[in-house]
Amino acid sequence: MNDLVTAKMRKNRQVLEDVWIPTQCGMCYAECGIKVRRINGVVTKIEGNEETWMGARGGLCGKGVAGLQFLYDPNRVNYPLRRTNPKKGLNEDPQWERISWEEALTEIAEKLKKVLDDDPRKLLLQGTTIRSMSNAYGFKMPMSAISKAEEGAPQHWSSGGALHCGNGAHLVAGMVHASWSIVPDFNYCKYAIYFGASKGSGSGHSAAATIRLAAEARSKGTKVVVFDPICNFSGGKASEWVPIIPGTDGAIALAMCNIILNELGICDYEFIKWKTNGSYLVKVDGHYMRDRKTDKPLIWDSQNKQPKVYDDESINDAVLEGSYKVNGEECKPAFALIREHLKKYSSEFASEVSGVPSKTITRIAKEFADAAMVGSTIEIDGHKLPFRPASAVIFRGGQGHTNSTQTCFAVSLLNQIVGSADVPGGTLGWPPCSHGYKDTNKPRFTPEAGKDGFIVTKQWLITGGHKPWPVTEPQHPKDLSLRDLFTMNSLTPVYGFSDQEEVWNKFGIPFRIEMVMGHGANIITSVANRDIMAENFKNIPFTVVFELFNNEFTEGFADIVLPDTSYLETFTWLEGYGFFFNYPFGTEPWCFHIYQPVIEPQYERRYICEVMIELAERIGRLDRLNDFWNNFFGFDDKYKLKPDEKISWDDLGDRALKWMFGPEHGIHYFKENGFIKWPKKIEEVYWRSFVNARAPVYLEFLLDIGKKTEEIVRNVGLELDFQQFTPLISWFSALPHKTADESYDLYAFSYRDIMHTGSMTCEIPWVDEASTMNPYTYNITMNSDTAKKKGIKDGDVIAIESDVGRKVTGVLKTMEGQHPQTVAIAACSGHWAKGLPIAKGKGTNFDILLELDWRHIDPLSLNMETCTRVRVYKGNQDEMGYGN
Amino acid sequence: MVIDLKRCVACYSCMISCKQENFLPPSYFWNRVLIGESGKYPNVRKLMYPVLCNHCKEAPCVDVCPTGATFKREDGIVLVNFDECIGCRSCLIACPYQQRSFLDNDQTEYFPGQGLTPYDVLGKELKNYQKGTVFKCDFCREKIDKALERSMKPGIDREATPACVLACPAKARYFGDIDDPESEVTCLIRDKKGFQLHPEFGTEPSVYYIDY
Repeated sequence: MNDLVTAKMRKNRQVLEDVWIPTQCGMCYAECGIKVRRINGVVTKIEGNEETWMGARGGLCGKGVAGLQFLYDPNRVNYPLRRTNPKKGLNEDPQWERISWEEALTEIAEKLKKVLDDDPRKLLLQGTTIRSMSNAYGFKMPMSAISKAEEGAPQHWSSGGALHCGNGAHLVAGMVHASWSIVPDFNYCKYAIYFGASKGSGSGHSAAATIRLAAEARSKGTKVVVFDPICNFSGGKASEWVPIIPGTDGAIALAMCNIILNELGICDYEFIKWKTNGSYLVKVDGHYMRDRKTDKPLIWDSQNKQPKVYDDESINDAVLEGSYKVNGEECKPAFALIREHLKKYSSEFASEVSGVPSKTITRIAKEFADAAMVGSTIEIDGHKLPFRPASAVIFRGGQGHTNSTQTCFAVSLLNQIVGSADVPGGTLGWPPCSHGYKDTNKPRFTPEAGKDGFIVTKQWLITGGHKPWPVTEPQHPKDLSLRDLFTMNSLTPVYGFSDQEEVWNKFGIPFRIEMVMGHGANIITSVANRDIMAENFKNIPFTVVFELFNNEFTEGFADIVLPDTSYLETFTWLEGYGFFFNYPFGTEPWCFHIYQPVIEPQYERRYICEVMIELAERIGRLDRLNDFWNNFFGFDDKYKLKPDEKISWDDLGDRALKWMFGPEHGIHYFKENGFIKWPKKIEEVYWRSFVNARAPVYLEFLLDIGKKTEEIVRNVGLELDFQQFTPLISWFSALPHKTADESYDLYAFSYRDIMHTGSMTCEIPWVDEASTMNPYTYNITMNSDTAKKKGIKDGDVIAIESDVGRKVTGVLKTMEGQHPQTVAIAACSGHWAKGLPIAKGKGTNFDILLELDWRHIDPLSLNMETCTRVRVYKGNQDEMGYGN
Repeated sequence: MVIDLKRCVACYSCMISCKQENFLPPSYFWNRVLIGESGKYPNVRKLMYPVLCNHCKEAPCVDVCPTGATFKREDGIVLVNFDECIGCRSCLIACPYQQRSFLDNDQTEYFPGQGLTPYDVLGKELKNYQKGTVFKCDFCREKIDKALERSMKPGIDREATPACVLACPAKARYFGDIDDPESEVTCLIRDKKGFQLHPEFGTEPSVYYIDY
């Protein structure tokens, strides 16, 4: 193991080299800028890069610092490995045999070519969300691109994506904020409400930056109200922690909308009229009243007393109340319907559903509405803008249920009623609007108005991306992902369905997955019940995984494992591409970073994107790959790759960087400086005030989509919760609320632990030490009183059993700060793989409790249900750990 | 040092950065984060206390040390000279904050049974920890002294600031001279009513907490 450390070093203690290399952290997908110290060829320290805004201005969260041990962990996969035990299963010993890269790639290329020639749809590409930029844009999309569209395309999956990511959240953030996710404008916000979100205390989107900004806001007196079943990382920093039954955030948000609009009479009517479809006229059947000539939705011009298309520049003022006749048909402005509809969501109703006292809901609604200062303005850099220093955000926990989409829209309604959307102080999307670097005007992307006047997202990629609007019409699915049916989905969970065979057969999809290629993505521990995952993956003929470590997925199911480079050994410009969830947000400057190796890849480790080039060449499709890159960047003739040009990954990066930032800003500049920065313009930050585009408060599009979906689904004898396809944002209870058997009296849920991302962080010794020191991270937590009533106490081994018999065992730690009707497990621990000796046996794997099937999903976005009803009792010590 | 409890999010960065900077062996901590709760459901507050050696002005560890291995520098930093420490551990007992550790084993493998990583090996060459002696936070003395030679300012210049202070992403930690009436730390203590942990111990800690 010590080949790297020479005898010379042991003898003399001279420091011959002491340098700091700027690069990016790879411990979650925030990609914060870091500086890494190297002494005599050894990496010794990781610190935040104090010069960038993409991070904590010199600080860094604990797991970011700990990443050094990833680099040198002796359990790293160092050579390509082949499984020699043909049996696959949860506890199978793969009996790895070391092979050469030549042997590995020859076999992989052969099988890859075969499946792409046969039917690319039989290939499943999966990637960890943590390195999502690398694998999405450097692996999955190129692989799709080298199969031409008419041939079909490989399936894509993000591991943990179904669980840790948010389909409902991303859909709504896309439609309302043109972005991937939302955050309070901390610099100006005075009152924030979090619904199952950990902005400033978790991992993921701009982790270290939000820690910094949220701390600053707190310090200056910003009030943060956190609705969360547990008072741990997020609730622990709240001005007010409000315990809530999981999955009931929508009821609270709707009640607040009702209180604010109908009881307090507070509303940003101008915002509703011009920035939403609240002013669109709606017929009795719920559809827009459309102009006969242009098919555009109509607004009633109150001054001229006539209907006009929504973007008619001659409109003086629009109505939000009343009843009107257009072409002989009765119609009302959507907002009138919304106002009436909200009346049924009283604070008493929401209290009944959520367990939050009705007085608390009413008070917080008033505080939020008052704090929003509807009608006020602020001048920033010479621009007069609406000032709304109140923001409500929802993320992972709040949206992780079968009512995901309606819940997220409910929170967006709360924001939009007070005009808090991409204005100073309000709810911001991560930056979706860029005019580009001053010298090159790249990357350039600006949301604009599309169909029916709604926001259409843009990115600086030509291919792929987040395009929630306009919603494509559902089709009878021909794709295993079912995304051609569920067209509002971002990350499909279907590959994890326990009833996928039945579903696929019903839809008559004739082919199946025959090959899997993955990058990270430990789907056994990080999606749902492992038996379900095992069943789905054990019969797939050929599985190849690029991995840092051998884990439960590779040991049980991989045929070939390829040694991945860790972030400290990688050059890539892809992780600098923020995909609008980690660029500095608000008024902070644009910062575009690269990863660069602090030490050269050790042993035979290779970066997946670089291997992709070789694979494409081996299967004779290099021209298609080059075509992909040409389109990806929109290279002009000077920069374009020639069809048969074999460019190295580093040279491609150099070309890409120069293309984006100018000839003097190639790989050399970036290696020297780590990143490039330029100021953000107010028109970029608060783009909503400069772009004439609207967001939905009335979900008219759901009518036709719902009807079509129902037709297709019922046609094959399946059922869905079709009532959720309703244009008036509504409360629907989630699946766990409907469990009939009351003996399953607790809601089990998981939540983000600041020390952890996905399942891999459990292997890091420093993180393990912190997790052990923390009273909650490796334990199962319950409310003290509830535990007492059940006759269990701190330190007891307890079992959690779901209403369908899934069971996990762990150690109890009671909390005052937890809702009495819940039981919780942090993060994603409970490993048993041989390849993870540090992680092995620590904590408990929450995901084992989760079912994943056609029933356990949000019918609009396919978000999976992440909470389940359980009962808890004294457990058996022998059932801890899963190696049996 | 001043630690802002409102800013702290208990991310353990201070704890891990300290370990990393100082090449500490497994299971030893010079910085820790203590987690607790106060109140009863639903009026609960999570407590997060980063703790470390308080570099007390009236340090009991200095008083009890029989060899003078533990001593207080003029600038206030309390240090241990490993070469003079005989490992009697009187200081461990004397410290009411339990911030001192006795290095009682050679176990330095973070990956038990799998040898030392290049980082660990280099650490052994750069640091002189000795089995059978006591060690503790030294406010990154070696780093700071090197920076002071170059006229850098502690708490202001990164090179002259302890690792735990630099690491904090919430900017919850401040470092400077509490005997300087104009320093940032002095102003914070004064303006935000900074408090010491267990002042009744009478040791006069140099670490203060604000914004509980």
